Amino acid sequence: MDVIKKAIEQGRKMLSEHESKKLLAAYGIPVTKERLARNVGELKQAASDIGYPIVLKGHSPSLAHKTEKGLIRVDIRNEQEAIEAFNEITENVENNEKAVLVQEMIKGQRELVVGLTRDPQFGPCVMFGLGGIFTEILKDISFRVAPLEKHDALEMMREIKGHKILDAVRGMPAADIDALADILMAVGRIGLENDDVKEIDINPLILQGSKPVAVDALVVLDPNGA
Amino acid sequence: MVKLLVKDIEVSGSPLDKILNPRSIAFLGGSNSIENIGTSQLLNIIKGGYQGKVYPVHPREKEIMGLKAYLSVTDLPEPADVAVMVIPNTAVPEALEQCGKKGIRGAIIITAGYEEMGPEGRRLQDHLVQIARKHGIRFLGPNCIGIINSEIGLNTTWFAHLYKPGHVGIASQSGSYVTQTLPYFANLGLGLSKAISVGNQADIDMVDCLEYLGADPQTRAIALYIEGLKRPRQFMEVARKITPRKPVVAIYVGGTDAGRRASLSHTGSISGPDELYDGLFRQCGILRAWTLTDLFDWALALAQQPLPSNNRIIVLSNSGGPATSTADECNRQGLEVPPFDIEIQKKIRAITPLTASPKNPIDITMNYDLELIFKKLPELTLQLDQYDGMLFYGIFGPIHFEHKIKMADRSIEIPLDFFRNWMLEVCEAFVQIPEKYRKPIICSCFCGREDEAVAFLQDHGIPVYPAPERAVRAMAALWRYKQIKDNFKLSGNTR
Repeated sequence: MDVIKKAIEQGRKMLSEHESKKLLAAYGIPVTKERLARNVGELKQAASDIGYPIVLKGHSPSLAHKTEKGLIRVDIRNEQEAIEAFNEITENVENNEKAVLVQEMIKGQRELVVGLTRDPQFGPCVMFGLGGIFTEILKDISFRVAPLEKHDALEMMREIKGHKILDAVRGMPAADIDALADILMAVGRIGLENDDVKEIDINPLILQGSKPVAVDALVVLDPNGA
Repeated sequence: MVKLLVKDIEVSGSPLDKILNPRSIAFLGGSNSIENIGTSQLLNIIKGGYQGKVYPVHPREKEIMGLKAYLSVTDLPEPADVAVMVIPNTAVPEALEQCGKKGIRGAIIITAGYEEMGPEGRRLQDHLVQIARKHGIRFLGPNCIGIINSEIGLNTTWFAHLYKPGHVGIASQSGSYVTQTLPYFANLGLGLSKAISVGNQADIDMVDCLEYLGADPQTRAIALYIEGLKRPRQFMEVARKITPRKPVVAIYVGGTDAGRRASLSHTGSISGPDELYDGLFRQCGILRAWTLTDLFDWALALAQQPLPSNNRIIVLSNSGGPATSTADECNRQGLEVPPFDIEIQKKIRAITPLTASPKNPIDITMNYDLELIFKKLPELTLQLDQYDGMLFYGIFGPIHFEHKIKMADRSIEIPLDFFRNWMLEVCEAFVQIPEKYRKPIICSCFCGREDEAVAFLQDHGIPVYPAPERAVRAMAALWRYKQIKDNFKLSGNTR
């Protein structure tokens, strides 16, 4: 993959969120509509193409855990809010690039996590669990060794304690289990086909209605890992 | 019963064939002094029922335990099928070389002081592997306790042969669990097929053991004690071929937070070895046990009882507390204890004492009507399509009368023989029931094998555990394995 090759050539240990999502999208994983904006002109254009409300995120090739660093503004409803947010974020980003990621606002109350880790002996392993802030607090997760068959993906979804969140609950439709299974299998394939990928976080993977969308993503690289 | 003959057939073309079924054994490290651990092990081989040839090898002794001793393996009249070594680790490389020259192609290296001791030990171990490869020798260990093959009466381990032949096959990374557990197995009525201590897995590893036990006709259930697999992906491949037809229970120990790695991603930091092993076990249909008690309890039940077709269980008891404890634990373990139809309850009421509870659990309350609890009620209820198995509490065998006779000191007459014969007669009928209805029965009893009735039931295939909860968990393991089997059938085309 080009994004991986480029990052390794630049000596980076991770892909930016935008690059990470390009990788995911190449494997058919649904990701947010998004575009990079380096100045106010690009910001206005991107926002109107994507459509309000939007989310702005600080962009940097070496930025993980953006929420903790105050680099995310959500539910931006018009151009004025967008420009204010752009200025705030670019002041806080500690690099020269001064760019933000303009992203569609995904609405959904159910946040999941899908991940990949590469164990020296097990090889690439896929994780599924409750996402967002619950991932590390509850650790309600399950693992499978890649490659995953569809029944593996279905079983690992049923294994987590909070699996009922995938059912039709509180007026929300049941999750599209097939789409989720496709994502889990695709993440396994990314691990098998790209030896330089050490870890992946798709967190949160938000259910918009029944459909899962990768809202944030991080790909960690290890060029010597293979 | 099991014939103690040396087998000629090879099970699977496995490197363990010869090691588990040797026609002759060279033993290095036994003497005439019981102070050597090797002597204990050699004694087990010579006097434990093994019918093959045994060649003690010793640098000084001319005769060991009445057998001619040889100065070196090169002096043996034939290349033995396997060499067992309990000698100082400085002497192992030379001994292994000599085995190679003599044409011996299998070895069990009991000697410790290798990889488990750090980098220097690792170097010594690699050296052994080099020598073995050069001569085409396959070996178990080092740092193991050897093997048991109950089919041919062979026990190279340290504890005497208290085990009985049976259908549970064990492979363990701890030697203790295939030798120091032998009295425990005997008390539990657990019969062994093969037991293998894999030690440091320098050559033959857990994957080879699993493959062997999977193909071994005597083994009906497999128990694994794992601290770390050397080839997890091959393990998974082999396990997936076995678990659709033969149950595998595994305990994994060692995946604590110490194993976790610092990581940039949540996934990386959350994925300790314990989580990965959990996923791997589930992925290949292995039941994970969390305690050694469960590991052996479940393997025993899986080896001996038919699987329930669903999770609706009858609880039959002659005492209220155990009945309630059993039903309560059933709820926690995903088993149901549905009440009987009114018609069935009427039938139960008609044959039980006034104090009895006929709903499910059935509690007949304390009495000596052995026909009722061992024959009539199991027959009446297990034939019902709506029920899938039985948990039983209510074994009061001859031991109780023996105790009373001692106390009574002839002040009253207690007809021990009458009770004894009656008990064994009803037990004889009781042990036929699981096969008759293809439904499992699992018992609990606070008395062990000192009670003849407990021993009889255990020896005729019905597990009897010393606490109600253990019986329930074993039943739940049968039910979970049934679901695993069904899932394999459903997804047959994609596995």
